[in-house]
Amino acid sequence: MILFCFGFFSLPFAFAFAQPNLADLQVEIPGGSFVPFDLAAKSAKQPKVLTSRSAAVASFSIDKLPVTNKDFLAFVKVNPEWRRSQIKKIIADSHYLQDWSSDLSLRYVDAASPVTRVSWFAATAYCESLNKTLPTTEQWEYALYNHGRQLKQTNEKILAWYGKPNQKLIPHAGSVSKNDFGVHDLGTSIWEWTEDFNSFLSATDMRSDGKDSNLFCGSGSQMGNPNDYAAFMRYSFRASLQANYTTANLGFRCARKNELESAK
Amino acid sequence: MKSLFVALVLFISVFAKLGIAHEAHHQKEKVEKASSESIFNLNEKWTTQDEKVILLSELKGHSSIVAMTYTSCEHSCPLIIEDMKRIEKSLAPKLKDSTQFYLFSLDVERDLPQKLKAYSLKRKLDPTHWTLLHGDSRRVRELAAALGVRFKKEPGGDFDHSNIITLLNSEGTIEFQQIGLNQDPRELLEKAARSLH
Repeated sequence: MILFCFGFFSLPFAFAFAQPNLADLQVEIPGGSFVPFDLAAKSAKQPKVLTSRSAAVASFSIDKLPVTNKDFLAFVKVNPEWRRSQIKKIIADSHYLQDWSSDLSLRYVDAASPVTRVSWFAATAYCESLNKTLPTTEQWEYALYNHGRQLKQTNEKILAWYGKPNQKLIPHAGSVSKNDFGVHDLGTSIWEWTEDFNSFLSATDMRSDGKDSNLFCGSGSQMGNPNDYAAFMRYSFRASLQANYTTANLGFRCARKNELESAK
Repeated sequence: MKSLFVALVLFISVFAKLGIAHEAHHQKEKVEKASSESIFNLNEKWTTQDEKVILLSELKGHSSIVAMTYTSCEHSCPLIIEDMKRIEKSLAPKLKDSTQFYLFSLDVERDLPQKLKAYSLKRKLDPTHWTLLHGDSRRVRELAAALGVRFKKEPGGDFDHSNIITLLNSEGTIEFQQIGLNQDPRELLEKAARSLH
């Protein structure tokens, strides 16, 4: 009888936990070091030799999934200033949330797909509303690096995504890939904002120094590991962004500093 | 015939009114558009070299020449400041009175107000026209993002950064950006003269 009662009462709980809201879930990424693409460089004397610097990354947590339309809708409901009709141009360009049918209606997009057409300001505000931040580029790339596991397979998936024409509908968050850290869809479904997307890269600022605007491609390909085309594309894409840009396949996920690390 | 004339006059006056209304609407739209693009929408707090806390929107009402630099920067920042001083010297007297110069520091940890104060004295920046500002890392990242300034902190504590001087009009909208060092300020000066009218 006791057993029966227990079984009976635990049933609703079982339901509650059977399909947890994955979007709320983060995974802790242990600290370590790796060579980010922009710190990899060719030796001037021997072009085939890489003279790379590695970066130490402190442990942090990152969302398992990209933020979905449904998640973002909940945010704009509570924060009217982030609704499509209220947004200032300096915060997000005129395509902000363009694929939604109105301020608070998702009719033309899938609620479970990653939200796109959000600016860096909007992504930052969303994460801050949950007491999180955007991941830094280094954190994001480190999560993708995955302790060097399955590098080849991951890169193949990323390149396959680059090869696909822009999808009208973006696959549901979490449905495309998963790495050994337990992070889904990194680099394989949408582009993602990072906190320091506007980090200085020698290649991009060849442009801003006005030396020779045609140098970008040339100098870009001098930067970084020449064997990592997938990363080159990501770094170049980020370098092409402005903070108020919104595009059809650019979304984000949030991160959080490890409590112990931030107490140091 | 007379009634036709009256009808015609009515017709014309109604259209003229519509035209004026349309013009007014257009003007209003223009104003709204400008304020929507204003950096004053990032209305955050900064601290000056005199430890005064100001909001970004306090740059309203005058033209601003803005750059993001840091005080321990040995190479590019002094050149940016020289470029800005050259602009200051070349401004017509009337423009000079209505233009302010702002240096926002990239170095959140080291460039506290006292240090900014010492730096402004060392660089002989006229305190009636120049303001140096310190903000937290979130504000710095946000302003840099809005101005299109890219930066990266290097392991030794120095920063790699874009060399951009921005002209903001009195409403906080970007009128012009002078990109690179040792540039001829003519284009910026022309834009500054025009934005006053």
